[in-house]
Amino acid sequence: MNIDLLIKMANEIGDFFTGATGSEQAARDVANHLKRYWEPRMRQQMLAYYEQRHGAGLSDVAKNAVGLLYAASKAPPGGAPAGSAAAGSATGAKA
Amino acid sequence: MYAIDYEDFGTPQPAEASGSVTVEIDGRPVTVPEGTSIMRAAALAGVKVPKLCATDTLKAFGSCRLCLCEIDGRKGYPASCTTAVAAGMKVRTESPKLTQLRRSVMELYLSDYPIERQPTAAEARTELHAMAEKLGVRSTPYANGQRHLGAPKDESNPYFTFDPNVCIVCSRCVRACDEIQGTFALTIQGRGFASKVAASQDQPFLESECVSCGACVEACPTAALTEKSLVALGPAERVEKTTCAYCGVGCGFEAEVRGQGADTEVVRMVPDRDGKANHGHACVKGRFAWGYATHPDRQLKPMIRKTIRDDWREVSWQEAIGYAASEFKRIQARYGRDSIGGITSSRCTNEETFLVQKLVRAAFGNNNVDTCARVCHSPTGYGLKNTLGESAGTQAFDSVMKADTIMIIGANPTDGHPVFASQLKRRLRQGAKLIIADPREIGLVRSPHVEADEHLQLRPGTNVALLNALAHVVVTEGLTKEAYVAERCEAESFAKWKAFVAEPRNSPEASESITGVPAERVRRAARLYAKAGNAAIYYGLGVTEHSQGTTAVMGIANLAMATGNLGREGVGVQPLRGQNNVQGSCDMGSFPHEFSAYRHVSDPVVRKSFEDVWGVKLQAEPGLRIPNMFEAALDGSFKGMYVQGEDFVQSDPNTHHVSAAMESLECCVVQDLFLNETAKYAHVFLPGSSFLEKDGTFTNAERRTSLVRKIMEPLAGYQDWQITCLLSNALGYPMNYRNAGEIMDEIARLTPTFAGMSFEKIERLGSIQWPCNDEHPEGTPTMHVGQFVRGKGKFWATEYVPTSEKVTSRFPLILTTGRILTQYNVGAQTRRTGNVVWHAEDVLEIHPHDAEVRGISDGDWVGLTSRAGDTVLRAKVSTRIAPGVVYTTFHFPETNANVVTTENSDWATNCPEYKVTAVEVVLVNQKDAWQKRAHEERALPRTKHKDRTPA
Ligand code: SF4
Ligand code: SF4
Ligand code: FES
Repeated sequence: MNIDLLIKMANEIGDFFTGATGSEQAARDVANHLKRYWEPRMRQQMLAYYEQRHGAGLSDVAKNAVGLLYAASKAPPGGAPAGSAAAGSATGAKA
Repeated sequence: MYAIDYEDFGTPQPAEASGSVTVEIDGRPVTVPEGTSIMRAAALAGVKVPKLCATDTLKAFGSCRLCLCEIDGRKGYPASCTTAVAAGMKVRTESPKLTQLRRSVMELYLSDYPIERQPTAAEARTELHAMAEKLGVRSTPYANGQRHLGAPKDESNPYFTFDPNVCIVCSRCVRACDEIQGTFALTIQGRGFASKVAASQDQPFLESECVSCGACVEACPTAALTEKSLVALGPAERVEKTTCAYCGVGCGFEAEVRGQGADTEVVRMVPDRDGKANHGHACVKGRFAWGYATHPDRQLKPMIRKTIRDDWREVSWQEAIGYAASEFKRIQARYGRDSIGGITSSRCTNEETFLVQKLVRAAFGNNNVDTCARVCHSPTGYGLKNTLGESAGTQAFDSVMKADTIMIIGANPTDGHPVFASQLKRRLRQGAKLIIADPREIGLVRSPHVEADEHLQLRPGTNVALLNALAHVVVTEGLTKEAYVAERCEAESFAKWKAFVAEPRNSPEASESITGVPAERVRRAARLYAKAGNAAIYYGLGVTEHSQGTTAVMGIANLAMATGNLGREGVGVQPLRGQNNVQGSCDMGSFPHEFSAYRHVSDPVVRKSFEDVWGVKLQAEPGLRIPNMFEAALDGSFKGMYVQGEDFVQSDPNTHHVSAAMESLECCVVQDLFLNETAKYAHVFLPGSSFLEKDGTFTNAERRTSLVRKIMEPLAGYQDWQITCLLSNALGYPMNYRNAGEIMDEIARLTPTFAGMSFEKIERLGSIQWPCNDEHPEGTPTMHVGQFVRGKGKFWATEYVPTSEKVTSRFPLILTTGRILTQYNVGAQTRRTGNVVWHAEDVLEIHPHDAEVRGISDGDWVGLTSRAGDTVLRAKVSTRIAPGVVYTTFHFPETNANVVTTENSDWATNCPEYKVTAVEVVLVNQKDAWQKRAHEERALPRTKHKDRTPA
């Protein structure tokens, strides 16, 4: 998919959560949002981009969020899922 | 003329009666609410008092004097329609004297009526003829006096005629237009013998302010106002109840039909007096514009073609379904399970929508299902769920009658939700205050007997800044309802939100330069909203279709929670849903990340409940949304699509981009009434059925689920849900429902908010507002009573982030889009009806200043260009729109306004930012190349053999 569009979308999600929850929590909220609303191939493309280009063009919050997802994707199976810290908040179980 | 089975009680039920009284009418005792008229009490006791000027949809008027009665102990002959009952009253409605008085009244009425000539079929069925008959008056001694006979008939309206020769000037039409519709288009002109009904300044109906709602036609007791269809087809033989398939008001209708089986014809659609969304009223679309259902453009045979460059070939159902299934299987085998998907439609029933998403999840085996709500109210779902806990409006329409202040944001109810607008205007005439936030001067800003107290004419794209400014005033002026919030909302998020909106940068003064709205006006509006006893917010696509659509929805919910305006009648947050079944299609699990009732696909318990009933393993990851599908199509990972009843090539933004994506599909299956714009990219066409040809339910904007009934056999052979079953079976996943009711039973089993619903119960209760479950077996008119569905209401700090779509020297104007009363969305239906007389093309509204500097005059062709594309349409110079902003509708493929809209979308839901596109407008003298090409494409042969017999 068009990576520029994915970057723009991630940044806009980041903008919202930065304003809403502050940048630290925002990264977790964005990661959680991407998990809950982005189809896997969109996420995979973003992770591949993150790996190759270190998230160039992503805002700090969006980059941190993708970083969380990236770390989770590299974690051994059974580890804590990405964004789990955000469960119950923002777009958590009730969303 | 009324519906053929209608019983008229003469005067309305008294508004709020404190007690009841018992009276005796013609010897029959009857107990009625205080304030009831004698006429109504009589009708309730089974006694029909003769009448002409009274009808129970209008306030009593007391002008015809036909309803006289005698009351024990009282002198004279009072009119029974204007006299209220009193305890112990003894009334006589029949006596030799009363008959004599009534006969003379009737003879006078008939003195100016052609009673001697043979009545037409329509005339013979009118109340006037029935009354004359009842009184035994067949002629008049005054026949030789002066008469109005010979006055020309007004046939200008496409749907009804006005014949002054048979008008008895009873004022029922005038009162219907005032009281029911609220348009005030009619007056009685002149006095005495010269008096007559006039539309606007004595103009033909078509040229007057009349909006063709038909309320006057229904109220007319003679054939002066008559539906043309009734004259052409003759009286109906029977009545079938159903629900309008146009907008989210979801009006109940009685379809008057004649003929049997394949010969069934609709004679008229009469709004249902028992309809809880519309109470007997309707608009020009629902009442009159149903001719599309049998329009010759309907494609009635399945068709296939190998490539989209080939001609279509009409084939049997079996071949078409077999081909579609084999193509989907081939694509999945080659490109993977996730390479295909399906689109449900907000125009289809709950049952049909439920089946399409079931087909995608269970038969395709992925979650690539989405719906056209993506492009309208998806931010509502996300925004309300995350604040209040439920993705739906909080009120019933009737709740507006208890609102003291009404705030309308980014919605145009008189055009988009006309029947609700009539109710709203009724409340405004009773004195409720009105705040409108809209870049355009919509009809409600100033109309007869209604004027907005504040019109906040903000720049497109600045809703969030405005909402923050309103909240700033509420918080800093101490207008929050602290006890309410303390009891019902999260303390922490409330404190954060309060601190955020109180920041000086969110003050009306600071945001004035962003929104363009004078600070003082914002302050007044905030006070009007927060200090009202009951304040309600109604909003539309002007809120959602922005890059910050979801943020704005949250901002609205914040305001309502902070001021205690949720959880009872008269208040609330109410999205005005565009299409008839937007609410329902979302409820049914049409979004790629959630099952019915908005439960995420990753929830193992929910998923298991579906797996148990459906007998397959389901995916836990969200699927592609519509815009993601286009992107995936362009990168080659998405190759096939089943599209039921949607035309996104016309309706979705950035048409060129969508077209390119569609061209890359290997199999697109379109199921629709017409060969729409999307069908140009289809390989299989499956002819769908109209709302007259199917059973099912629609859920309107107030969560009200009503029955749609099969009034005639499907012209192409199958109801839409049956077609989905055929496809599923061909794919190897069995779907065997005997009727639509069985699908609802499955929905109820799997959907907590629909748990108590069944066709039988909906039929019995008329309609049901969800949640309908053990706790609320008859449904829930008002949500969040006592407690939010979420538990504690959650506030969100809603930072204003300007859209990336900015005006530049190249594109110095902002385009915003909307719709008008007589056309409906992509216009596939309304363009095929008489409604085109009001709106035959999309026009571009432009402010006189912007027009002048570009040398543009009213009616000129202008080119409209954005970074996405360009189109040509006619200019309409208007002060309704602010300088710097232009406005158009998107009802016609010839214009295709979406050629210019961009790929920008809401951050949370990808709902497109239709409402803000930077454009330039120039004077041109001919239609552009794109449109010429579009015209040529449309002219291509579509089928080799086309006849009207279904396969
Ligand atoms: S059709 Fe409706 S708007 Fe037109 S005159 Fe009759 S009542 Fe008024
Ligand atoms: S208001 Fe909406 S639902 Fe009612 S008749 Fe008109 S289009 Fe149909
Ligand atoms: S019906 Fe009562 S005065 Fe006309």
